Amino acid sequence: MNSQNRRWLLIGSLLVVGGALLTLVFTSFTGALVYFYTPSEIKAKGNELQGRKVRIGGMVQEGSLLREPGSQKMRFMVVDNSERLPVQYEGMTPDLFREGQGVIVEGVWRSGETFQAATILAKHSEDYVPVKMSEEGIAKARESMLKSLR
Amino acid sequence: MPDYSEYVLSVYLLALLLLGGPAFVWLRRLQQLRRQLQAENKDLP
Amino acid sequence: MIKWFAKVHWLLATAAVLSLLVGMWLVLAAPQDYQQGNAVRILYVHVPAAKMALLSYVVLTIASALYLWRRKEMWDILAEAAVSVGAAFTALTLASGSIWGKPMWGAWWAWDARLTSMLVLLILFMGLMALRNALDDPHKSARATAVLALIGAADLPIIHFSVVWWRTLHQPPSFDGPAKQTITGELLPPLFVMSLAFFLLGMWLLVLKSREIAARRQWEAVETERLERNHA
Repeated sequence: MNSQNRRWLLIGSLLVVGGALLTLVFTSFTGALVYFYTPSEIKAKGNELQGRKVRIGGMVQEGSLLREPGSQKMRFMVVDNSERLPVQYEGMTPDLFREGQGVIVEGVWRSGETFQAATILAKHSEDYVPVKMSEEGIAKARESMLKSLR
Repeated sequence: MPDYSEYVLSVYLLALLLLGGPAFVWLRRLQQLRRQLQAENKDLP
Repeated sequence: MIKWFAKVHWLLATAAVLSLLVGMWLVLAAPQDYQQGNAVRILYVHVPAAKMALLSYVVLTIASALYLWRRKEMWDILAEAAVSVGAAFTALTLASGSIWGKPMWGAWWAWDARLTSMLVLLILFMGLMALRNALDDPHKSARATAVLALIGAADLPIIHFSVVWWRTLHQPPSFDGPAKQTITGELLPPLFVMSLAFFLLGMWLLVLKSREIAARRQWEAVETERLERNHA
């Protein structure tokens, strides 16, 4: 490699590494690294988020999931420790999307309307439980999910 | 529940490739360097 | 140290292979997870790989600091080896996480704090490789990479605490102090053995790569010497 190329490689690599580090450090201090809001936070600052794309995370409330037969339409409640938020969605769901499990819904926030999720991500809890102990698993997952939403 | 075997298998194959691959290359290069150094009457450091 | 590396080389390799065999047997024998089914087996590569990626950077940080302090070539060799080994483990962590994320989360990638800071770690390792290549003078490149490695060490606490400090898509740690342990029953032993196996494998890779770098540098010295002799 000639020295001209080496110099560009040097400048390029320093720029990339420096940029990556700066972005990371900067975003960690501005709080942009918080990936989603909880239903309580949405309730508290719904107005300032009006018309913005948001991610809202919580637990799919047990017994709240209603799938419309013959289509991919569904509605369910996203809950945290104190608030709950009705959500509508149409499309494929991740395999871990279940009642009583964590979920992150993404869409445009319009207060006063039912939240229309454009995409759904399932959030896994940190619990790993053998399949024959499913009941313990479900209880543990609920507990740790709600703890993480505080 | 879906089986997920293909996902699991691809992860383990990838592990073999990403860790076994470099190990193989480094091992071969070390042997080659040993031969080259021996030809100069030098040993590996 | 390189001499000592040559001694433990095959011992480490044997230990790594044996523990990997036991680990793989336990992985195959482990029951399915109540939510993830067979996909839980991806965890047994992903978690140990992530731990080794971070450990590689810790080794890199210590070696870089010692090199800047003592200026012994040995520490620079270890630092260069840690970059190569760390890059491999980081790439495996990101790839295995992605393959797990697609069926489980419903996305190959998400810009959450854990995933982003881990990607930064990969960029750091790649940048360190490029920087070492970009400088002609070996002493200069050793010093420059050591300084950059020390600056980049800021990413380590960010990766580790990302899932605690900020709400992320990535799950919080399953082990957190003596009080918290959220992996139940037969799902736990494979993780222990695979972590041990990856540790031994990582140490072996470090030793192997260090020896290869030392040999390469000695060969380069031989060649330079020969060139100078021919010129004279």
